[in-house]
Amino acid sequence: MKQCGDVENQFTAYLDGLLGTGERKIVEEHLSACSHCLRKLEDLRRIQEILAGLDEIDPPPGLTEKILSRIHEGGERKEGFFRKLFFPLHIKIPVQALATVFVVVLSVYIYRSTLPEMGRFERPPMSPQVAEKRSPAVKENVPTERPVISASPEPSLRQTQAGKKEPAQRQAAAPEVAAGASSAPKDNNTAGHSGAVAERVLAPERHAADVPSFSKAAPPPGAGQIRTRGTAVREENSRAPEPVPAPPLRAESPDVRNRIAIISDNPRQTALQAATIIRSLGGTRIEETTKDGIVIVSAWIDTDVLGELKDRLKEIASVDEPKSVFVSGPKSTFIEITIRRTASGHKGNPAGR
Amino acid sequence: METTTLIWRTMVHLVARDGTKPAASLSHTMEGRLQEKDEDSQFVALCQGGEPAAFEVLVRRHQKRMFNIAYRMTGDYEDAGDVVQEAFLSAYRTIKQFRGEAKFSTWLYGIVVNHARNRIRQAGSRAYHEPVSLDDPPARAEGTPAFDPPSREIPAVDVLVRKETQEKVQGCINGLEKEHGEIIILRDIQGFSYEEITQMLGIPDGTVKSRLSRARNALKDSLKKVFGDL
Repeated sequence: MKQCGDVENQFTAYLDGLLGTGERKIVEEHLSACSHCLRKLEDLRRIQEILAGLDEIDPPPGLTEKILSRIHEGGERKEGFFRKLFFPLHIKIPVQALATVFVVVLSVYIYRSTLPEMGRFERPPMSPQVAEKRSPAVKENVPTERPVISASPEPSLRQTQAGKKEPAQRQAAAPEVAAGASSAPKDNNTAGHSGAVAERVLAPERHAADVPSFSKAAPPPGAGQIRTRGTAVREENSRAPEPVPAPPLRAESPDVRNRIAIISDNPRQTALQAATIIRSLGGTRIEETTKDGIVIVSAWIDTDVLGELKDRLKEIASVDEPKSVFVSGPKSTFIEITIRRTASGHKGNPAGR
Repeated sequence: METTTLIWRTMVHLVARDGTKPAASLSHTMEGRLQEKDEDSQFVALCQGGEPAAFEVLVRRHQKRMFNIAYRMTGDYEDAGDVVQEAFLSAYRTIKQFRGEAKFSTWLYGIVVNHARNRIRQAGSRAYHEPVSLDDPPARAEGTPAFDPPSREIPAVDVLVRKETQEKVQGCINGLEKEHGEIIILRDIQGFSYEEITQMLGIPDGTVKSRLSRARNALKDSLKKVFGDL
């Protein structure tokens, strides 16, 4: 016969009908002989009856509506937005399409807003002929970095620093030089002007004030104009009897906005006359440099008197119209006058110059 | 269109049955359980497919039983209403996670048990777990539950005695340990099977048995203290 404790442990299963026939018989045999266990079982049975007899309670009226309204509130918050967007097609087309349009519009806007700045840094397209004509040595001299446009646009400073290879100076130097200039003579000229270089290296502070107005007020240089100049370089090189190394890439920078090309028997004297004319027209920062037999006079001058300047220059020498470029710009603009020796007076230049 | 028709028919069917389908009584028969399961599955699928109207059917079908579970666990009529609302809201939000491993009603009742547990925990300072004293019979000025009167022919005195008795029993249940109370409610009051309780509470079958045994003995002791001889 089983102990009372063992049988009591079976009461729950016994009451719930979970015992097998054999186990149930054992429990019942014990109960028939043990009044204590029988009373305990009766108590448990009575408790089950009490619990089963507990009344079912009605929920408060309106509970269903409360539940549904809370669900709709939560659902509206979630679905109101999402269902409108996604449900009609069960796919996320609206958001994806909207995102695509947004990205495209943003890209166009950014491209357009940065186009003027990009144009300044844009390297003029180099023709394959020019690239082929370049000697390896010249290629080595070609700086790989693009010069920073915010550097001083003063041509003399740029020119003198063009020969130096320190990156910092290269950055500070604006690269425009006259078309057709070769690199080897340029180095010689640079060495010859080393004293001037020492003075002019300090010049950026002097011109610093001009830089922002120049870069901001000046209209973006047209790409066509830059290419025209690049083409001019190529044409000149093609006309040269010997393959002349192309100027460094920095020389193709579009910094110089206005240019007048003059052909003269006596370039130096013409340069002096030109400087006088410029001064008389109110030009400032007049500087004169010589490179590869070409005398360059650069200055800042009022845009309004550019035409008059050209007319007065025509009086002293012949102006090469195709090589002369005028662009509209701010009131004060930079001009560069290149004076070449006529073909009979300079063996390096092609005939007809 | 087909689903709308189905929902409409079901709604008409439920409203014709006085709006509150006696889910508990239906579940006690095997046929009722099968029918309930089938109908639940249908509406659950609709809900999962994005038809919130189908959830209303499930609310109307199960709210009374859920409310009774919540009321027996918390012992408070108003709290039970809040618990049921929260449980349905939670079920609605997570209905897509219901995979049909168990009956939907089992899953739903498991949710209401969890919410009732949380409510009891939040009201820790309240006297949920204090044993009922004979000197302080439970008095409810407001929020008194509307008991279903067994019969209108029972004298008023008997009704009052019955009501008082039931409140004392309820007090004893709420005086048990939380896990003992809930297993008594699920098994002996609501009549769920061991398997259903296992799924609702997430405990093994053997644990259900042993816990139920301890819970019944504890309740017996508690009731004997209240009523003397059973």
